[in-house]
This record gives sequence, structure tokens and C-alpha cells, in this order.
Amino acid sequence: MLAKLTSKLWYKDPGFLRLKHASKTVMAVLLAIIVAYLLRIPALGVFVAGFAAGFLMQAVAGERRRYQQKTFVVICLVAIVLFFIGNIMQHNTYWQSGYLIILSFFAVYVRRYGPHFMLATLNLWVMGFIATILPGGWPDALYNSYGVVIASIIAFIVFFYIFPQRKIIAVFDNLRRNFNIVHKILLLSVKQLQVPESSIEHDKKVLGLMTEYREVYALNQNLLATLSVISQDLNAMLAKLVMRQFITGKAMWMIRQNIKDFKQVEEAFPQVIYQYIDDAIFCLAHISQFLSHKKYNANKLQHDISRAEEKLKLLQAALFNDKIIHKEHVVILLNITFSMQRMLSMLTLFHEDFS
Amino acid sequence: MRLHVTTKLAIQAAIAVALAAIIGHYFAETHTYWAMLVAMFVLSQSWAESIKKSLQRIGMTVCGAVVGSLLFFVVPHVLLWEIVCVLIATFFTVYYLGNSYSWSMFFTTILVVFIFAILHDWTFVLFKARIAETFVGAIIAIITAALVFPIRIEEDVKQTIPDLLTAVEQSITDVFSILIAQQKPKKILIHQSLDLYKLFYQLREKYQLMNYEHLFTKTPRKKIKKIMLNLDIALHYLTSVIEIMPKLENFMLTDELRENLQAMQQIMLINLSCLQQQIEMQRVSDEVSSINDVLTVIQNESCNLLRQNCDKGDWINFYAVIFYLKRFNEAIVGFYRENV
Repeated sequence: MLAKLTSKLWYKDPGFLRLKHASKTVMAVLLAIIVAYLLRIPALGVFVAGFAAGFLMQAVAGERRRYQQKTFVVICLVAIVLFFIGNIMQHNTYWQSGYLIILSFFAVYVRRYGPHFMLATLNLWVMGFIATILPGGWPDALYNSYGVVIASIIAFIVFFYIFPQRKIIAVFDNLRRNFNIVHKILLLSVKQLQVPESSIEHDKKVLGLMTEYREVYALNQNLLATLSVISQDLNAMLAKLVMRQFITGKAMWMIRQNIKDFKQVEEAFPQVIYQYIDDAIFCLAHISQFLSHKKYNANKLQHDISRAEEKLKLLQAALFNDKIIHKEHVVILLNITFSMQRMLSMLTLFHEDFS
Repeated sequence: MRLHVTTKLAIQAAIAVALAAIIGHYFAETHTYWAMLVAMFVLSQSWAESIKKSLQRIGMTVCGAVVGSLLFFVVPHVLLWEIVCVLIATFFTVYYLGNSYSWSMFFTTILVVFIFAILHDWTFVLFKARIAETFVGAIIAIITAALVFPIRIEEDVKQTIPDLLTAVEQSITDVFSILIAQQKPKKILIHQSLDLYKLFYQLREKYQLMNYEHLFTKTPRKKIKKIMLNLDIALHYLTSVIEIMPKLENFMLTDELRENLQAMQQIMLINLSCLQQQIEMQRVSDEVSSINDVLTVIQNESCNLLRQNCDKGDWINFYAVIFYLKRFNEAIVGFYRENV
């Protein structure tokens, strides 16, 4: 039961990134409330410390740890100042509105210096905004800002020193999960070739796996969008890998469709062609299985790649088999061959990148 | 003067917040800040995105307020319990943040219910105010995004398609220069395949968003879907051709075959330029046409090559290229006809 739940959670949230972050946020909020309470700050200050910790936990910009730490310190300082000013202005509606309008402009304008500031500036805006609606004035504003100081320190410690995140690792985890899916679908394709008629159960299984592939791919797209890695090379490399993930998915879909076409006119092909297709798909499945592991034997994988190339060459040569008379049948075989070649070239590129 | 996109968005945000403040002041609303908050949060990179977020925000706020209110009546009115509810709602808000805007908003509203429960009380007046102010804020954001320096996805798409078609044209020219002039395949060719997909993927995402802009127009969605499908098919075959090209390095052609391939290239480039002109709203100078006639000659001629003992592997690759180019051209012609 627990294992099932864990695997479901992992499926929706690979690397438990979101789970960890949400738990850390709750922890930061609780700690900030407790510390503020122990320091005998007035009740409103305790409340401010709690919610500021929650918002500051979302205000980290960039992906490199050092960069994150530097920007986080600046963001916290700005948050304290903005909160204080907003809280002081609380009594005057016009000043309050003017302050929020100017703040809105700059919160968005700062994105010019990098999209990774988007969440941070939005959270800063919220801090300034909340300050204008909470009871304030002198000296409450001072106590409330003290709450933000406490929240900043706690958010810093919790974010950087308790279960630190590594989103890049999750991108690679997702890639490996997709190779596992490719492996399963290819094995199912081999099975489909062997049975006389395809069953609804079989199609359902494949469609389920295809949906899973798309969802994992979407997760990586999402990670890539929120990653905001500062190094352009690293960004480009990750974008390239995710794009290849997309093409691999398409190649897999092509193989599936082409095998369906093949099955419809199967009597037109001699038995030996079945064997070649079977062998080639099996090799591809084996390669994707290798790539689904964190550590694999590169030599063995290279050997499998050579074997797959060999099988595809045999399949190409089989196109000239005298028993295949109709042009359309040649085209069906051609399509199968090229979809598998496409898959092989993608898997080879992944192997080169991984090694 | 051309403003930077972030400057435009910043002005939009400032005006939206100002409008929310003015409306709140005019109607003497006590919870204007919700409208301000919503206006600021749903304003996005484009008008379409702002509409999408506004709809999600309104829908999930209503759901969250209903569920939150029910929970408020069920949970004992003790500070400890209310704090536990706040922490649970905080957990789920952050859990869905950046992954599902809708769910994040749902839990945010539950969070708001319990924060109010701790600070004052949660009443039916607050329930109504929360929904009404969210609605006002969302409408302000949609109107501001539509009227103040509007950023339309449709315009962006109109710029992206020509970029994609130019890249396609370049790839076709490269493919034929390898085939006809027997040039060595360029290393960059395989990267072109990835770049084409990258451009296509961006385009597809924008198309999906464009649906929201078309909520207020009569643009047929089916037509757009068909155009995207044709483009997808065209790219699928073109990238397949690109991947085969390095294998055709030593394939020798006859003069007749070369001439026919040139004719085929000519037709394909004309078709592409017709499509380009059509998309850029220019007068289309030529007619799109099929390559079937020239293709039959090429297929027959290539069969002669096979009889002359050319390498069978090379021949298959050549045949596949021709077959895929045919399918590519059909998709481009289909795209053109759908777009008329």
C-alpha cells in the first residue's frame, strides 16, 4: 500500500522535489512562528513572521547554489525595507495605492534582468502589499519588520541547509524513466508481432504507457521552464536533451503505427522478415533498458548499438526479397526500417551525451 | 518608440493595480485588496495567457471558497485546529505552485478562509466579497492586457511561422545540394532537425494559447488544428530526410535523374514560397502544385539505377528520401489549402 502510494507520488513528482519544497515551507512557517513567539514579539509580528517565511521560501532565484544564496540575501533585505515602508503607509489610502502602483511596475520591470527573478519579485510585491493592509504605523511597523527579519534568517537556513534541491538531477531521472517506458513499449511491440490478432487489452496497455511518456516529458518541460540555470551552456544542453526526449517519443509512436500497418498485410511478407523486425526491436528495447539505469556498461551498450545497426541493415536488404511484390508493402517495410533507425539514432545520441 | 516587452508588462501591471484601487475607492469596497492582488497575479506574458489564468483563478476561487467554507463549519473553532488547517493548505498551495495554477489557487483560497478564521471570522459576507473581488480583479486584468500595449500571441505566431518556414526552406536547399551537387553532408544538417522541432514545439505551445484569444473571435479552431497537423507531418518527413542524408554520400545519379530532382526542388521551393507569401499576407505570385508527375519519372529512373547494379542500401535510402519528400510536399500543399 505504502509502496504503491510512494510510486504514484514519485510518478507525479519525480525526485519528490515539490513534496520536499512544500514540507520545507511548512517547516519554515512553523519555525518562524515559534521563534517569533519565543522572542516575545506582539501577536501580529508572530503572524508576519509566519507568512513572510512562507513567501520568502518561494523567492529564491536561479539554480546555482552560490548565486541563489547571494540573491536571496538581497531579496530578504529588499523585503524587510518594502515591508517597513508599506506598513508605515498603512494609514493613508492614497499613499498606499501610489506605493502599490509603483511597486507593481518595478516588480514586473525587474524581469528584464532575467526571467528567473519572476517568482522572487512577485513574492516581494506580495510582501509589500500585505504590509499595506495589516495594522501598522509606528512602532508596530518596527515589530512587524522584525518578524520579517526572523523569517528571512529561518527561510535561508531551511532552504539551503535542509534537504537542498537539485532540479537538474530530476531532469535526468525523468529521461531515464522515459527510457524505461520506451523499453516496455518496444517489448509489447515484439509481443504484438507474435500474436495473430492484437487485443484491446494490449492496445490499452500501450496507450497507457504512451500517456505516461507524454506526462513525464511534460514534467521535464515544466522543470526546464522553472529551472532558470544561469549558465547558458548548461541550459542549452538540458533543452537539447528534452527536445530529443520529444523526438524519441515521436519515433516510438511511428514504430507502433508502422507495426500496426505491417500486421494488417502480414501474409504478404515472408517469415524471415518477421524475424528481422523482431530482432531489431528487441535490440532497441535492450538499448533503452540500458539507458534507463543510472550506471550502465558503455561497452555492452555500444555492442548492442552495433547489433541493432546490423539488424536494420538486414531488414533493409530484405526489402529486395522477391516475395514482396507490391510497392505499398515495400513502403510499409521502409517506414518500419526508418522509424527504427530514427529511434536508434536518438538513443545513440543520448548514449553519447550521457557518457 | 518601441518599448521593451517587460516595460509594456510593467505598465500593464501598474495600470491594472491602479484601476483596481480606483474601483475599490469609488465603490467604497472594504476588500479591494483582493481585486488588486488578483489583477497583479493573473496578468501574464500575453493577453491569451492572462485570459487563461483569469478563468482558472475565478473557477478555482469559487471552488476553494465553497470547500473552505464547508471545512470552516466542520473543523472545531479552536486556534490549534485552525493553525493545522492553515499549514495543510500552505503545504498543498506550495506543492502545486508552478505545476498546476488551478490547484494552487484552490488551496490558496482555503488558506485565506482559515487565515481569516484565525484573525477575525469567516462569514458569508467575506465569502461573497472574495468571489466578487476575484471576478473584478480578473476582468480588470483581461481588459488591461487587451487595451494597454496588448501582446497578442497571434502576432507572435505570425512571426514564428515564417521563421520556421525559412528554416524549412534552408533545410530543403541543403538536402538537394547534397543530392544533386553531391556535396558532402554538412554536419550542421542533423542539428537543423533538432532546431526545426524546437521551433515547431514553440509554435505549438503558442497555438494552444491562441485558443484563448479566439474565445472572443470567430476563428475556426478546427482549421488551426488542421494547419498544425499538416505542419507536424511535414516536419516529421523532413527531419526523416535529414537523418538519411549522411548515408547518401556516395550515391551516384544519372544526368536525367539530376535534372528531374532539380525540377522537383524547384516545385517544392515554389510551394514553400507561396505558403510564405500567403502567411505574410502578400499577393501569391505562383500556384502550388503537386510533385507527382516528376516523381513518377524519378521513381522509374531510379529503378533503372537498381538494374545497373548500384548499391542496394544506397538505393533504399534514396527511394526513402524521395518518398518522404513527396509526403512532405503533400503536407505543405495541405497547409496552404487549409490556410486559404
